[in-house]
Amino acid sequence: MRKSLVLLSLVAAPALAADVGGPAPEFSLPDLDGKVVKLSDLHGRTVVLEWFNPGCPFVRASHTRGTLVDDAARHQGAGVVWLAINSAAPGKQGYGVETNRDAARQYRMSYPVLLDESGQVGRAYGATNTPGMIVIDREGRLVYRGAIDNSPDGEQQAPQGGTLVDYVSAALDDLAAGRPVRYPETKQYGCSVKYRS
Amino acid sequence: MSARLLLIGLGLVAAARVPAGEPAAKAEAKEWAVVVEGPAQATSAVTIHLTARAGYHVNKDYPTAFRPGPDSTVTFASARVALKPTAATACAGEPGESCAVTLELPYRAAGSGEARLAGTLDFSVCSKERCLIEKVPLRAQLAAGSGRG
Repeated sequence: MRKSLVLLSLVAAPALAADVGGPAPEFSLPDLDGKVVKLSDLHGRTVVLEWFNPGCPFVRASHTRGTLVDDAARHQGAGVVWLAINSAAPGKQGYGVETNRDAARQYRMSYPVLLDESGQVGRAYGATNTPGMIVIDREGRLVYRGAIDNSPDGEQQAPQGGTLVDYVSAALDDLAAGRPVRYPETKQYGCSVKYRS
Repeated sequence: MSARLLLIGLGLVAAARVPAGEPAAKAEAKEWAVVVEGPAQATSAVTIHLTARAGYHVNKDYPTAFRPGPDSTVTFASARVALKPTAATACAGEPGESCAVTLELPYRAAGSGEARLAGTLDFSVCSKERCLIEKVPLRAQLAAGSGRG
């Protein structure tokens, strides 16, 4: 009985999120067609992870009027790998292959949406909100975690301090220039990630 | 000089003319309600009460703002007036979250006669299951003399 309780509490304990500056946690997740994407297969490339939920109005705003309208295409053109991850659990808002496929089509997303229905990858990366962003450098280090930009309305109309800062582009520009990332961690905004309770 | 207010929001609001400082009208949905009070005499602001309901709370991270419309005859400090709560009511059972906030919207009226306050209130409310971003049209008829800066 006692052993069972100990085991249960270990299983139920929330996973600690990776540290910014440390190694990016390995993952292996299926896309909407069932093709598995493995992070270690992308070693040597800069990778952006975008936490995604098609039911979240902040995601919709970012993809239709905000920074996510063209960020991915622009950086993919420079060789960056961009992946969306949906950590919604079954039954939660934004869960389901067709729902995500429709949204990806509507937002003209030219990159895979990966499904993380257990939420393990989201929790390992400390993803709390959609859209929440991660940047991984070519050496596999997590170098940025936070918001897509500093305008928490998702549509670039309310930048804090009055000037819009695209944090992901700033991080990618810094990596390309061989500089330390200026904003390694910012506060994520948007909807909560709809993890399994 | 009694201020009078006429507000129309999302087509859900009953127009009303009421004395200053009293609830004028409200816009509402299942998840939230917006109530606007007319300005008290010799003040230059209307008071907006935003209430989240049905398990929702006011999204404190969202940049709540009023965006003046082209048909507003009163003017504002900027094309997007950031609104910070001047008072908040905590949600029962949700530490750190507010279920109601009070917002002050300052304006400036150019002269005497009736003036129109018109624009859009942007805010967000969230539950554990989902968030909403709302953009509620506001339109208020202000009495002569109110709102002079």
